[in-house]
Formats: sequence, structure tokens, C-alpha cells
Amino acid sequence: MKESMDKTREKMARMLDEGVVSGILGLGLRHGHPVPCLFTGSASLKDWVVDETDRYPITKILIRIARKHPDETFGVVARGCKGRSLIELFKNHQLHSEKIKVIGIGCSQELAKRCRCDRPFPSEMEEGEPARPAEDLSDLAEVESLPEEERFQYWMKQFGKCIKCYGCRNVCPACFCPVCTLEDSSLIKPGGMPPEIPIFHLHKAFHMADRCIDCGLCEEACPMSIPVRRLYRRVRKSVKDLFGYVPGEKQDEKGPLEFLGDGSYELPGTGR
Amino acid sequence: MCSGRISPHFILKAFQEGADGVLIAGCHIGSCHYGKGNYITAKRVAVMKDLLGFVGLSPKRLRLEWIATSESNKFAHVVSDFTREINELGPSPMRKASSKKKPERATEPLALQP
Repeated sequence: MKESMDKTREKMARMLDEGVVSGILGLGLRHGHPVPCLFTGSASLKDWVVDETDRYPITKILIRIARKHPDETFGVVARGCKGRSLIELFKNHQLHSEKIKVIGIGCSQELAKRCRCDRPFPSEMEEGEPARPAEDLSDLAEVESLPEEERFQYWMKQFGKCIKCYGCRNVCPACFCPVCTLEDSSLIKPGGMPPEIPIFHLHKAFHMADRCIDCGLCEEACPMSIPVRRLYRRVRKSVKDLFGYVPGEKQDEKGPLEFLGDGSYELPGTGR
Repeated sequence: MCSGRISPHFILKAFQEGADGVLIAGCHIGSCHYGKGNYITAKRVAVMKDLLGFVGLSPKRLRLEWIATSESNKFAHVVSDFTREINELGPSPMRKASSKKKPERATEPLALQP
């Protein structure tokens, strides 16, 4: 966003000065590069930047900080996708919503288009105009137009590139389990490169079904350019079509695939 | 075992090991001993079918049926019907993919010399 963001900066300084929050997690300029920083004084906010190339799982970093300082309240600068991930983390009890203050910033139209984002703005924006949703599911249609056999070959070729770096999982702002299926030797054979395919990628894909907030960090993090986002977008779409549930949208709504859900006994296909 | 115990991971594991089809049989909706075990299964299977279809494994290879303990006829019927359907679909592409690396196996039964 090209604007100066002065209004937001002032608000953040006020929050720090008044002691509403102990620190604000955002991006700071260090040696000319925007990196995640925890701003603890209003004077340090001069280094705060809003960068469109910001591709850090900032909410994941926030979990670590919040766990170390459970009694403190923190602010976090969040775009639309980060806001959605916060909602998922609140729902899954990884962060306390009353201990986190969100400073919402919008994305530019170009960024929204680049991310193919269906909601490029947070629920509350400090300043500026929200960009228009730029949802584009043509990547899914492209795969789905292939005949079944070719589709299988396509995916096996893509998965075969995997070097098992776990980057897609580590960067994912909706992944937080302390024990991960992807490292379970009884489900996926350990050792060997590539990992057992397609099970390795499908396990994660199914797990993302009612969690994926479609931020696209996974695909950007992948050093082998495996289009994993397509998989997660597809299951996200399934959950939306079948149950009318969109992850990261409402904080008081539980995912339909959670065993201890809201007790709704609705069957797939009925919608809502 | 309650059909709600069927983790999606088990289904994927079966396909990874080369299963041509996976049949899940559970208690009828409304008669779950645990309240909502079969509802969660129905939801999971629906999403799993979409995912399998997307990666090119026919969703027909996964079937969910409600069969009560007293419905032995239904069980027999479902199993034979599913077997027929899987036969029509042929071997799972997973098996073809993994057998490529291994030496060719004879597909025809060996003719025994008299």
C-alpha cells in the first residue's frame, strides 16, 4: 500500500504509550529488508513498514511470543489473510482473543490479484479503501479439465519433486499441532526421497479441509514449486460447497470436520 | 469398530498400499451408539471423495454404506456390487505407478505343463 499509513502508525503509538498492549508485532526495516519485529516502544515505530512483499507467517511467530508471555497483551499488524489465520488460531485455542489486538491493514488491488485473494482486507481496517475480492479458481478448473488418468500422472509428477523439507507445513499459519501426521512413521514410511507419494501430500491436504485460509504461503515457500495451494484450495472449496463453511470467516463457528464440533448433525450435500 | 474411528489417514494409507477400493460400512444414521460417530464419517468421506477425484483417483473407489448388524443380506449385496464396480474400474493407478519401478510381473496365470 503506497499510502503513508500515518493514521495507523499514530494509533499504534497510542496503544503502546497508553499501555493497551505490551508490544506490537509487525514488519520493521532491518538493513533495508522488512523482517518481523516486536515493537515495544512508540519511538521504535519509526522503523515500522508496510510491505507488499510481506510473506511471513506473522501469526505463527505471535503464538511463540504469546506462549512465552501469557499475561501480556500483544498487538499484531494483520492483512486479510493474517486476520483469517488469527480467527482459526483463536478457534483452536492457540491464542487468546482477548489478549490480542488486531491492527488491520488492507492490500492493494495488485496484491489481491497476485494472491487471487477472495478477501483482501481485514474485518476492521484502520485506513484506506479495501481492495475488491479477486478470487480466481481457474487453476482448479485447469487440473479438473484433465482426464482422470492424466490428472493422476500430473499430480504424481508434481509430488515426485518433493524434497520433504516440511516448508509447506512449517510456514502454514493454520498448522500448529505439536505432533504431526507427516512425521508419523506408521502412516508414512520414514526415510527415502521423495517421501511416500501421494499419501504425504494428501494427508496434509485433507487436514487442511476446514482450516485452510488460502493465503498461499505454502506454495510460495515450496522450493520445488509444487502447486500445493491447488490441493488445499480444492478441499477448502469442497467444505464450502458441502457445508457452507469458510475457514477463517467467523470466530464462533466450528469446523464441520471437527469431531467435537458444534453438534450439528447435518449431512453433506444439504448445505446450510 | 465405530465408523467414526475411521480416520481419513487410514483411507489414504489403504490407497497408498495399493488397495483398489475402500468400503466403509457403518451403523445407520440415528442409531449411533456414540451419538454422532457416523455423521462425522459421512462428512469426512464426502470431502475425501472430492480430494481423491481431484488427484485422479476415481471417487468410486471409496464407498460408504450404512449396514446394521442384522442386515446380512445387504452386506452381501453391497460387497458383491462394490467388487463388481471395482473390477470394472480396474487396478488402482497407485498400483500401476508403484509396479513400474518393480520388475514386470506376469499378469496372466502361468500355464501349468501337464
